[in-house]
Amino acid sequence: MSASKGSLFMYFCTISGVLLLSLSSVWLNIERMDLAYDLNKLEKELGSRTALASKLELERNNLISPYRLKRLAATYGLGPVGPGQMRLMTGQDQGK
Amino acid sequence: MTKRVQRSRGGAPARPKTDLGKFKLLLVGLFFAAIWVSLWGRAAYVQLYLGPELKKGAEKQSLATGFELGERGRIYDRNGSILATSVESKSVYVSPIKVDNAAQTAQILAQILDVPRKNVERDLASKKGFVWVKRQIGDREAQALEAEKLPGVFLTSEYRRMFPNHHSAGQVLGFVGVDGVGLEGMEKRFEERMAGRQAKYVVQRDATGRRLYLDDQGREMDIRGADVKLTLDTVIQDAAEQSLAEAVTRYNGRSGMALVVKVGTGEILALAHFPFLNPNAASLSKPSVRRFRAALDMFEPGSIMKPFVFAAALEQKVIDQGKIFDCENGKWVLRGKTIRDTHPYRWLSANRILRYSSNIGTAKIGLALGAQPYYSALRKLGFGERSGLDIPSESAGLLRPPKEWGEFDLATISFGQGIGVTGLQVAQAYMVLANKGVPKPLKLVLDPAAPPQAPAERVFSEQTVDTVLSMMREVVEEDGTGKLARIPGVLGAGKTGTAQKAAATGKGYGEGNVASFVGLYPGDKPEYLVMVIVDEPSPVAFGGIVCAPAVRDIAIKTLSYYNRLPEGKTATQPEPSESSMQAKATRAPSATAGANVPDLTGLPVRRALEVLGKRGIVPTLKGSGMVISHQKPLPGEAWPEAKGANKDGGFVLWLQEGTK
Repeated sequence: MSASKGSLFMYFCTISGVLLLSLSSVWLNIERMDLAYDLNKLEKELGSRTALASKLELERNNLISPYRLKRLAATYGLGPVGPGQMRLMTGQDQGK
Repeated sequence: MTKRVQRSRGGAPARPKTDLGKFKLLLVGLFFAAIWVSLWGRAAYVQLYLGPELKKGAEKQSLATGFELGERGRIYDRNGSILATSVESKSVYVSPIKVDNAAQTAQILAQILDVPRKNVERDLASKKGFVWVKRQIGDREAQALEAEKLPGVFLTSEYRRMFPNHHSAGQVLGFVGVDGVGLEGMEKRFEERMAGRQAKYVVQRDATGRRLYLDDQGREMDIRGADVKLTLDTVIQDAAEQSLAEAVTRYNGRSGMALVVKVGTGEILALAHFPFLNPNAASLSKPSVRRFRAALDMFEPGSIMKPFVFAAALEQKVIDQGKIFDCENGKWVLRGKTIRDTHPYRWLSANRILRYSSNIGTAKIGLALGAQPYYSALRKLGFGERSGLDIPSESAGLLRPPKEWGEFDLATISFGQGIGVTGLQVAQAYMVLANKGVPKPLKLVLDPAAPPQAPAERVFSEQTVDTVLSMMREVVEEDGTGKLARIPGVLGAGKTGTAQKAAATGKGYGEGNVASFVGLYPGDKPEYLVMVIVDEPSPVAFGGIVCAPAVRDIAIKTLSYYNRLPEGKTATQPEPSESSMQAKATRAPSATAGANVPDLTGLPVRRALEVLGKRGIVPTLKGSGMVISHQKPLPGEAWPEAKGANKDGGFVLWLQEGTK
């Protein structure tokens, strides 16, 4: 009797284990898909932000390009230094 | 069972009945077993036999292979400013079978993308499943298209090459095609390094077709192209381009190039070409504008070759500075052909031949030197071979072997006619003079670093180079042909060139000229080499007039940028008029350290200090300015003792603002 009870218990445990594993597998799969959707969304956002950052960097480089600065300087009456117009401040006389 | 026995005991002997129950049970058992076996059979058939095929089909539905193309590497200048980069932009394509209303779609596409409606209608009428409408469109256009939600019209991402400095160093950087492949310049040279690589990975598709990344397979690799860092400096590049453009347009030249090199390292700080090329819209420019002329175009250099004849002749001790030559009053017939000078001279010493750029005098020096030694020097200077910058399609120039030279050839090659060189070769050769007689290879790329090279073999001795540099200083600082390149307070050395261009017919010379000037600043210990070449300037074609002012401008901007301009107030020296460029055979008064104190008044302070420095005297400076107004001791008096002169009250120079 005790042996049949034992086998019944083992049978029950096995069934429960299989059920539990199956449910876990389903739950993990659902979570995985959810994560995949989130990841997809985040990657798209990262891609668009990276693209925007590159465009802004490009724009910044364009704005500080010598020909732009020269044009801007001219509007304020500034121009390149000529011979005899330079004054070196202390610590700035080192060549670049 | 008991019942059955009783019945048989009570009445007639019972007829034995067939036990159907067992049979039925067996039948049912068999039925279920058959079903069970067929199910298992079917399952086995599906799993084991059809399994691989079904798995493939299922994967086809739910999995897809994705490709990702990496971004192309960037090009930076020496200070880290971006010269070329790739940004993501959208491209439009249509799938004509999915388009609902072709006429309306064509109208909207034509309006938003600013393309001819006929072209769009032709695209929509195509029977292909994929047709490009417009590639690499702007963000605003992409947004407007997305808002329209047109069936059958799709946007896809591509990388677009952008050059934020527009035309700056356009020919050097080159450009890429619409597919992002480098076609010219650095873009072509470093195509393999900068091209983005492709990653392949598997994605899962859901019912709506969205792609989901389930693992990082294929995505862990670095697919971005590597960057390239050039030696160019955008500030110097802009200065060179501005001055070059002014020189070419002012003198109606066809084209021009300018080069600035840092002598200490051989790094090219600026390499400008005019007309400019905007690589952002390279397809709109002519092929002739796209040429990397400094490396590709060969020209006859003219008088800028003369310092090399002088250096070779000095090295071979054929001449010394004071040796005089008869310049035949400007016209000399050699082997039935006439060599002319721009201005007539008679007897000139070697230094004055260079100062006034006499072709006849230089030809005689070349003839005295001989073909083989001159050819040997030219080869050592880098003529007749590529510069080593590894620029696509670079020209090696044209330098015939000396056995093919006649006497007249030797004479003309001495003053730079009958030889073909590139701008880079000229700069490389002048680097030998700037670098005390030892070649210093030009550098255009900092990263990737060039492989280490064996130490270069000395071409000229230091003494020879010093002598040639002193002659070249006379060209700029005295009454030579390059005085428009003079910068107050900074010694300059240089050489002008005005070369005739070969006639289009291939025989003899035509009307066109190539004007050029190469300047070294400071002229005694060169730190920067500046070269400007203008093709076919008119009406004036002299290098000393067309190019020297441009070299001066570029040098001033370069020196000021690197804090190498002298301090103090000096009025800008008025530019000599064109007529003053007529070289005279009289020697200009110059201060030299003779037996008595020379007259230093009117000299730039730097030059005066040089003269006194040779005597070991450090004078006391009084007042402000860059020009000497008075001096003590007075001119003609005996030199004071160096020790005493160094003390206050010894040698005194009073400064003033003004011109020399």
